Amino acid sequence: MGYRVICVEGLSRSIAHNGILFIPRKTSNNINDLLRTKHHVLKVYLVSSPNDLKSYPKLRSIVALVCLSSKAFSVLTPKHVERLITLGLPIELAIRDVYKVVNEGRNLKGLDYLVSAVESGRLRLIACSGASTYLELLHPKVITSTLIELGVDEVNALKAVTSTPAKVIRGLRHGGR
Amino acid sequence: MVVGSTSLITIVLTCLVLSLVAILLSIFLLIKYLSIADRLRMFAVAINSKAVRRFLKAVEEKRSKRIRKRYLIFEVLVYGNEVNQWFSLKGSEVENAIKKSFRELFGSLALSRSGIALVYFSDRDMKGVMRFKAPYRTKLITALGYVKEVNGVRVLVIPLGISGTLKKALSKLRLKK
Repeated sequence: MGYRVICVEGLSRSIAHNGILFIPRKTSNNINDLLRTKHHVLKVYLVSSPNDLKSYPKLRSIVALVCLSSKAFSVLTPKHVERLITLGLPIELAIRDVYKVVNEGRNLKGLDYLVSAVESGRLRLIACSGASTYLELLHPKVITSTLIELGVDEVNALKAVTSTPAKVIRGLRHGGR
Repeated sequence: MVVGSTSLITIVLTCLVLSLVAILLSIFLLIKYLSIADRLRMFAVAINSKAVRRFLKAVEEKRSKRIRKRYLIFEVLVYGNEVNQWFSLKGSEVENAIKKSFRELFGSLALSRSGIALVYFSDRDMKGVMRFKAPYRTKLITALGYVKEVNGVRVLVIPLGISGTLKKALSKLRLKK
């Protein structure tokens, strides 16, 4: 599908297989839980409600990414988006979660605020498939097209699957390209 | 002594005159530069203005009256208990699934305007070619990611490439076998 690196939850160490680098990843909404995680693991802070952003000054030095759950799409307000901007960390968006919200017919206003912040260049976006099984993986072209349909500029949509995740992974020092 | 003092005065005076000229010149240049900068700023604003953009778009649309067709090459991956080496899907079933997901995401009007139609599908390789109107490229690719199952079998539809002619699309398909 064109992937070079895949971050997998629950992996103990990084593995290279068929030219693809598999990196361990830990997603949690508990900061103490992430503090105990080893340094080579990709630490992702899960935001499912605005209350999760209360302890945000601590986050900057601990986690590499902030992931938004499907619940957050409809509850995020401009104030919370501003808080995410001041955090200075890239925001991860799982496209499967977007499909889920669209399928359920829920409001995507939180995502709209996020997209406008990305468009103004104040927020870095990382888009992933958010797959839990093999058949839930999405092609990068599908991810970029979905972002374009959501209102993200083509350049930013491409950045969300290429340079921004590459910078984050390079920070883990796994020897990736 | 008198001659020496007069020459000193003349030197001081010439220095004063020269410095005055330099100051005047710099003020003149500064004013000129500012006016140029203003003009440049005004020009940039004019280019970015909505009216100009709309005008340029109208000119562009007038120039290219015909909406171009494109051909999307895709592959279907299947997964499930009933899947074995003799398992295959019909082209019409795949086409209906893609159209259904497109309709769910963008509505019936967009579907009928997009001109989506399956041109070729190989049951053996599970690869096919789909025709569509060029402006609906991102919408169709997004819809491919939204397809979950075909005939009760979980599938993953991957876009392999886009071509301008059917001949090139089929040759690409053969190369990717």
